[in-house]
Amino acid sequence: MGRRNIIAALVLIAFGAAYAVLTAGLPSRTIPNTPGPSFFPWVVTGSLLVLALGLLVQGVRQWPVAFAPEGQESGAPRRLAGLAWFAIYLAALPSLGFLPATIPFFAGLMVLYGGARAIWLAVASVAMPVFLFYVFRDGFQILLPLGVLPVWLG
Amino acid sequence: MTGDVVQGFLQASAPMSLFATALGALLGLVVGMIPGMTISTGIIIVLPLTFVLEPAFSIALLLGLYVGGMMGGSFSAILLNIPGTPSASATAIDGYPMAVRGEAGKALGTSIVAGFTGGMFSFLCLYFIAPSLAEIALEFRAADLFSLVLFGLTVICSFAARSLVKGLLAAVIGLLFVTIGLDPVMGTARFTFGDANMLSGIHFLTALIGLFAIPQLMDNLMVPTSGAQHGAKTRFGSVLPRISDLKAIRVPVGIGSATGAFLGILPGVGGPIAAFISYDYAKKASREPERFGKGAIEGVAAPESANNAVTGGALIPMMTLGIPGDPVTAILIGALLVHGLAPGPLLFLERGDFAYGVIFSFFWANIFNLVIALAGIRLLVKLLATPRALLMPTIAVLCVIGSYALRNSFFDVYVMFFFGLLGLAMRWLDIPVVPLLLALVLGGQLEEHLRVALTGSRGDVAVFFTSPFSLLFLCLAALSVVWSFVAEHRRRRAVASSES
Repeated sequence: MGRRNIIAALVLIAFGAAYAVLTAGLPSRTIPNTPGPSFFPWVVTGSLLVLALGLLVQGVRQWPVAFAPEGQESGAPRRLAGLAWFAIYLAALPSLGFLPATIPFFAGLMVLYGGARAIWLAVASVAMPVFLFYVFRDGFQILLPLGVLPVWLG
Repeated sequence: MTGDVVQGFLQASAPMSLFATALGALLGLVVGMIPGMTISTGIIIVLPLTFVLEPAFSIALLLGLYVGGMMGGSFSAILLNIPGTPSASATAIDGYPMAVRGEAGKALGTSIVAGFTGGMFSFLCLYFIAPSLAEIALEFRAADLFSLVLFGLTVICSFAARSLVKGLLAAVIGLLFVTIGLDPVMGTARFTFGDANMLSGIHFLTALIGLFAIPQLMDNLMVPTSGAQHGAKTRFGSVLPRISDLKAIRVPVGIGSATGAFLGILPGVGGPIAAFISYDYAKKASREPERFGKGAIEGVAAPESANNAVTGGALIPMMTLGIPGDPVTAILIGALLVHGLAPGPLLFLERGDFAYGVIFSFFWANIFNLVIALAGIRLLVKLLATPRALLMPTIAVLCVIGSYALRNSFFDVYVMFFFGLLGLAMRWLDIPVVPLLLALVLGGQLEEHLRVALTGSRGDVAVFFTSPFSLLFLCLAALSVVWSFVAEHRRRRAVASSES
């Protein structure tokens, strides 16, 4: 955990510095004796930097442990695959529309979660997105995008 | 006030409200029961629905889910030794040994009755304390409100994290996201990078979906099974507790209800802490403490009454001060804000009927919870066999629909995913997400009250120390930080000495 604390602290210090630069570009005060729009971001910047330094100190104090090799979690590749699949789905969603993007996404996730039987997988990955699409689009008037599908389907 | 009480009762007792409450309780029992799902996930599932429902029905649905979820967590704790929710962890200590020796029905019945009693006790606390507290809170000025919100945040940071620095860091990261968009006092655009979507800031519900659902979905990917559990086949026996059982649990239930309701009022404490504390108290109060841990009925009753009593307790600061006690009450605040209703003292003044409606919906949620749980427990536990391969992809799609439905915008969907990645990173770094979420809810108020107070005093910070309320809250905030720091220091020394 010590190594992770050091990494987190360094990332947060860098982030805090970038945030400070952006805060410096905000209008500082518009009415005399009153805090302007940059006042609260400065408070946040100061707090972030102080706490990140505190975390860095904590990490450094655990020095011998800090750089001990950490074992990789089992199942991590599956998690990465899930995240990547989610990201691809979100990238395709605006152009393809809800149903054409969601059906393969659903099927892919079912496979990742251990759904093995092909018929079950095919039926569920079509039926569930179609069910959700019509329930939310027609039942709750949430305009889920049609995308490449013909208008009459919506 | 009497008119508001009557109106509130009628609003909560309208057929549609009752239906929403019952549906919420049923869903809550199911999501609470299934390991790998939490009450927050259940709420995320129904969130898109709440945007289109009337505010009274939305809140009834969410309250039903909150109360049901808290009780449902104990079912899998008793049957599988896997707590459905963190709050049910203490229940498993004695509940599972009871199930192993063939008393699953007795343990489940006890948890249902004890949970109901705790919930109703907290309803009474909510009914009698909330309006009085709201009246006091009406006297608060900007400086008092700032100090109160600060106190709420520091308490949450102290309880939510093993390391105070990490808890505070999480809250500060949340405050950082709050500064995106138009500033609340002058309307100046901040950190928007010229993007019109950023002007309205980060909606905390999208952040919530990402922070809670995505890491949970990914964690479930690490579990190779498809979800079928053996608990559905467990032998039950009778579910209804006997008179002798009720007599045996009355003291632990009393201890649990009082502890849970009180601790629920404190922001950030939540069900797990209340359950373990009441378990400990019940054990100390018992004449046969050696039976605890080996299947004592009192060991089921105390934590169950406590974690259910937390629900009503947590609603008190939410309703009267606008300060959420836990992630679920934070979501409830968000659901109300979506409908243009801001929880806080003014809610009782301006929409007393609605405020009492919420209180009575909580009452009905407990009633439905008891009825559905007792009548349907044998059927409900069969849902433990729901395949993960169907459940998890459905939740993933509902996360996307929920974040899109908020403003019909893909921007919110991407924000949700960003917060999901952030949640995963924070979990890897052992930084808690709850303070971040609550900072997102409270950050706007914190900045607004701070700036209004300083503007009123012409920049003089003494305004925070001259008001007795403000001074009290600041002292309590400092106390919670110091206490947390000392507790952390002691814990480290204890670990170091045990290692040496």
